[in-house]
Amino acid sequence: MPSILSVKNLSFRYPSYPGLESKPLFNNLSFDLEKGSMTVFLALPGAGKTTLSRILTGLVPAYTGGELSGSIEKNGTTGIVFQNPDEELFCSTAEKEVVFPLENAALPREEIAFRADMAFQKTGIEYLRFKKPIHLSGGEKRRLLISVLFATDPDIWILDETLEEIDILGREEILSFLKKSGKTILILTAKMLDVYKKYADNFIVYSGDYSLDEPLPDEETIKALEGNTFQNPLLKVENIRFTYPDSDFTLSIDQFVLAQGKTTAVIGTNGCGKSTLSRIIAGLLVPAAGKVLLFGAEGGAEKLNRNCSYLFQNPDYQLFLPTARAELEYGLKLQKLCAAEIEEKVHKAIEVFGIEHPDAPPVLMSYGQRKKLQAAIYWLLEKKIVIIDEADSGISSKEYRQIIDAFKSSQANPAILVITHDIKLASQVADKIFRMGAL
Amino acid sequence: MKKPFLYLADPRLKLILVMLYTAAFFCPVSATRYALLLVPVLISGFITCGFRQFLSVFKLILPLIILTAILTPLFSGIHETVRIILRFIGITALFFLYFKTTDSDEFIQTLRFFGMPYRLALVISISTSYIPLLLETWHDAQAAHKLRYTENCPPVSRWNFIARFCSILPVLSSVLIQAVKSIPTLAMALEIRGVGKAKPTVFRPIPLKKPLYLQLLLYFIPITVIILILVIYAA
Repeated sequence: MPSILSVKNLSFRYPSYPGLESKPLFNNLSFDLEKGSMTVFLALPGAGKTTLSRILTGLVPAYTGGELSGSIEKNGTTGIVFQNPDEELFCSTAEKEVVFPLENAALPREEIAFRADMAFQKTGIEYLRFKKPIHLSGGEKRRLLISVLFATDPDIWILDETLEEIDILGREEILSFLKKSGKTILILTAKMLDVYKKYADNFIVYSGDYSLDEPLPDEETIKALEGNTFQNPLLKVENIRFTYPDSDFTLSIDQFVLAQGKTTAVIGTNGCGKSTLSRIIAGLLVPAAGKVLLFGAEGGAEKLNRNCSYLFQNPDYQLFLPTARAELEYGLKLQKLCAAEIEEKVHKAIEVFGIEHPDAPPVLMSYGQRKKLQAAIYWLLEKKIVIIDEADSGISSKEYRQIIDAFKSSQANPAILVITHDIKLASQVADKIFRMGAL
Repeated sequence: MKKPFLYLADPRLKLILVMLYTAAFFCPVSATRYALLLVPVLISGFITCGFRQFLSVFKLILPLIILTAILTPLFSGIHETVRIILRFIGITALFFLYFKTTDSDEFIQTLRFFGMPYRLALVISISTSYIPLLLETWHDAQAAHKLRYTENCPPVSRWNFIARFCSILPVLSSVLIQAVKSIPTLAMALEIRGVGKAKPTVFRPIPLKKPLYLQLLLYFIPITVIILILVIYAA
């Protein structure tokens, strides 16, 4: 098969900043993509997958600066889905996102309509067509960005950690369509999803050990874990109903419990309300009906806020200080702890979570490092409930499990709620699995 | 559910009215006439958004109104102060209602209809469509920061305005960092979507849900006449 993309001796280095000396990336990386093939590029977080995806699309170093050496030969157009979908969505409706590049290509209206219909149909999100992208769930946003690629139809598709937050059926559907399309696909990921083994033609292992092939848990194991009953629950959700303004989606849950020292995994399709349930538990949303009982009593939003940690899909919402160390210290300072105690705890957190550059500005750290920093911040707060909301993009499965284990073995012995699409992970870390929506 | 009238009104006519109204709020007429000008704007606002949501817009500008109410009388007198406050409320309400009821795609087409170059119209449209995105980021950052407090943290009194103001600063910093970080990525996103490579097609031209002449008769001409009577004729 002829090569459509050929990378030879690629090396790159970002400009350095005070406190963050940039490290060389790729070290003479060479690979070829055959036309019509699907290749999975596996590398640990921070190895430069996002940088590579942007170099291949010509965005880096044009927008970032840095030293690039080596050669890239492309025999076709490239399209990309960014790792963080929020960075790429700026239109008022999902349809506008899809048609915007087609309008810019000056295609006739009939052609735009045809391509948009086809794109929404292939990704199964026709029902989101006139929704605002900012109101979509993480998985729905990624499906929308894949729709943009279906509509624009580039020759080489570059997916930067795109499938991790899409539900299992969605991944199958999308990869099956991609495979049939005959396009050249490059998937950059830190995680070896089982679905890749079914569809990918080639694997490039750039860094990390992906040789361990853990089998999927059997149905009986999953069934044994399914349910949501614990003795002496720490938190109890009863008959809650919640609807967003300007939305026809309603979350309705009769009962849900969390128990101290126990881990509950919540699995379900994109947009079924997993994050909404978590936000209600954390006191960030107030249900229209029903109760959230903590320690057997209703305490209101502030009590829930103060007892819940919430690892957001996007770690940047709470980072604001000039260094990672200052971020770690901040929560402890709010508790009025003494300096020596703060230093000792922060030192331990840096060690447990492997924060590589504690004196670097978080804004310049890799996505995976920022996620670890977010986890370390909450680990230090020792709250009673820890919610980990699809926080596994940008970090490897091993690191993700390490984060969960760190919370499990913390002094607070919290109730842990893990939202995930990874049934393997759910069966390994959870005491109970709670299904939402249809799977 | 049926959308209020302002959503259905032609965005070009709405923009002309917003500009006309804004100009009227700068005309040298009495505060009473400013108040009369404000009445239809407020009524439209309450019908379009509901009482609580429309009032929440003014909560955002309340600190500026209070500052104006305290400082301006010292230099320009009560009458001028009232005029400035009414002008401020009026213009805020006008632009809020315009952007609340006009899709950014319609806005960009409106600007192009009036002869604005495509790229400039796109920049203005993206800037305005970023406001709700920033608001959303604000809410998320606020939520994330709330969760950094524990049961061991001393409670913050509702009336401790200094502490409450200080608690806004981390949220503001996070939002600013997010906004600044989004500049190069937004530029990248625009480039990969082919902005500026060719004269773009308009997939959905501004929909005219009611004939333009009917809209002219129903609200455009009557409101224009009222403004002219209240402002120019009186002056």
